[in-house]
Amino acid sequence: MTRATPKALLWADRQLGRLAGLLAVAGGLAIVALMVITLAAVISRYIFRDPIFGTEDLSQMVLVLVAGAAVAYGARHQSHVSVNLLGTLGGRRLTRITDLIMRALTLFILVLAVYALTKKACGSERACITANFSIEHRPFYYYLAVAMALYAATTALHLVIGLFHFTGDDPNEMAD
Amino acid sequence: MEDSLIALLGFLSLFILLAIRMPVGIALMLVGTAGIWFIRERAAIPKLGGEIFNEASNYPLTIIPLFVLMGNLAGASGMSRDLYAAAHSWVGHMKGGLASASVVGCAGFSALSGSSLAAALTMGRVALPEMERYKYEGGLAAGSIAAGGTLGILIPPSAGFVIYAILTEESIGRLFMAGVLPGLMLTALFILAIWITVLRHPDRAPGGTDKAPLATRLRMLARAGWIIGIILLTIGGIYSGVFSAIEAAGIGATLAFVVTIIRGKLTRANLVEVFASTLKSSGTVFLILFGAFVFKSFIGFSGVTNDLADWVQAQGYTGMQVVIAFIAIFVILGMFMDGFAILVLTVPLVQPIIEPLGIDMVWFGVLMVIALEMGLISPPVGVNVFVVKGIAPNVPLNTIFRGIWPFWFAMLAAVILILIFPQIALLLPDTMFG
Repeated sequence: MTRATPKALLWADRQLGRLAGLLAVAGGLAIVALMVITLAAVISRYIFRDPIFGTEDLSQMVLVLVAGAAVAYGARHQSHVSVNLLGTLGGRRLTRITDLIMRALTLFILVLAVYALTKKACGSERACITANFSIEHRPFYYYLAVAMALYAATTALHLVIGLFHFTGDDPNEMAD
Repeated sequence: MEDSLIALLGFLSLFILLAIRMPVGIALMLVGTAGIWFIRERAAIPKLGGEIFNEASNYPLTIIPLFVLMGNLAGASGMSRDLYAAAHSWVGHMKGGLASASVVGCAGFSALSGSSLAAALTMGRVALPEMERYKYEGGLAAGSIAAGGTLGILIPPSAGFVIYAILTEESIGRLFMAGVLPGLMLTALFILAIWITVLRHPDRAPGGTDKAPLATRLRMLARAGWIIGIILLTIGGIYSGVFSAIEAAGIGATLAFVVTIIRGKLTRANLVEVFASTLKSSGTVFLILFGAFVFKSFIGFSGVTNDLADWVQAQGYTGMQVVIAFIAIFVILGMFMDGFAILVLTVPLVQPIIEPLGIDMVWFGVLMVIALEMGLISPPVGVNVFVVKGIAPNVPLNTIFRGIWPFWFAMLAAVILILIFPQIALLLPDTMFG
């Protein structure tokens, strides 16, 4: 029989959903900004014959906002590409064990990535800046760390929920 | 432990991690970081953080969210439906015409969206009910959609080409142009495959629509003018050198946005759906690239590619023999693995082997993408087939896979033709920018 997921875990899931939603709003706005910057650069170059200085810098940093949001939001919706041969061949008896291992290892590398992005961020030992506007990279490293931390938290929650539903159906198991 | 042995163990671990359903990007990141740690311990953590930031801020990757947005807006605004309606009015009355119209529709949609799945899903929703209405056999109907959808990663803009270009440091614009003629050729080969199938089994496409009057056909074509205009502007802009591929993405997305507003389709629900979908699709690409570059660094540190390249050269194989061998491997791998996974896994290994043999990496990229497309419709993991199965639940999976074969052979024919006549891929990139 499938057990009901404890309320505390459902609450945590809702909060992570809200955070992912917030990042998605930021990511969506960043995509619009990317579109506007690119369009402005083309219009300025061809219509006004006056290229805008440093648009590449702006696009690069806005792209970081898109990438971070996209990865975290994709994790929330389990849209990241994986190969689901085992689900078809092995069934739940096997995947409940392999999913546990997979999630634990995923959590490990994501936590390591968060550490790498915060502690080893470019700029903590030497200043890293963009070529034209000298925008400092460090805050963007931290932003990516937040996005990866959200991914890690989602994975940790799925790990716990998976353990809770070990003998039944996992609500977060990858769909066929 | 020897570095090449570490690389070998790395590949083995990677396959195990992929088999236990770890996201491809995460698996690459984990194996890459662990591998670097074994070879140069102090480099592992900085490389992990550094590569994630480098790819997140990699300017050419601006293309990904913008082109994905453009494709999603084309779906939301009804432009993709217009394209199918136009193709339907021109070829729908012919034998197997509805299946051919689906393929043409997929080809057109592919020119707005870099995703094979999006092309199959969008066109499938429009075309499958129509083919069902005219009693098309399920295998032919679903097969034409699944195969047509694969054009998404060949006809520019293509997410597959962007990833390949980033990995091989080739020009995205040149790769996009290299996909145009093979994409058109493959569209024609798919239509030929439909024609032969219907000729041999007329019962598979028993009916067709009445031939539409010329005025109706022209009206339909005019209605699809927006989408055709955006396609011509973006691809033509890149070819003529007026825009870079990145700028074309920005212009195309803006135009698609404007058309969506003009058509009154920019509702809150559509807006949320379009941006959510764009973020999810872009996220999958970024995560794979984060991992791919950590993994690529590991492969570089291990030096295994040099060993392999030396071995291949010592055997005296010609460039063509090596290319054919790799294409065969990609087709086989494609039966079990996702195309993007194969791309990021193999390119760092393959490039150092084939480049010294004088192989044009743009030409090879086109061949590789078609081989990966074959994987998209091959059993047991043909992703496009499962997408179409989702839209056509009453058609058994076996029937769809049976219906796929004519298209699979059409792809094989395309690979052989491009192997024999490299100019099919290289003509446009070699003549672009005037």
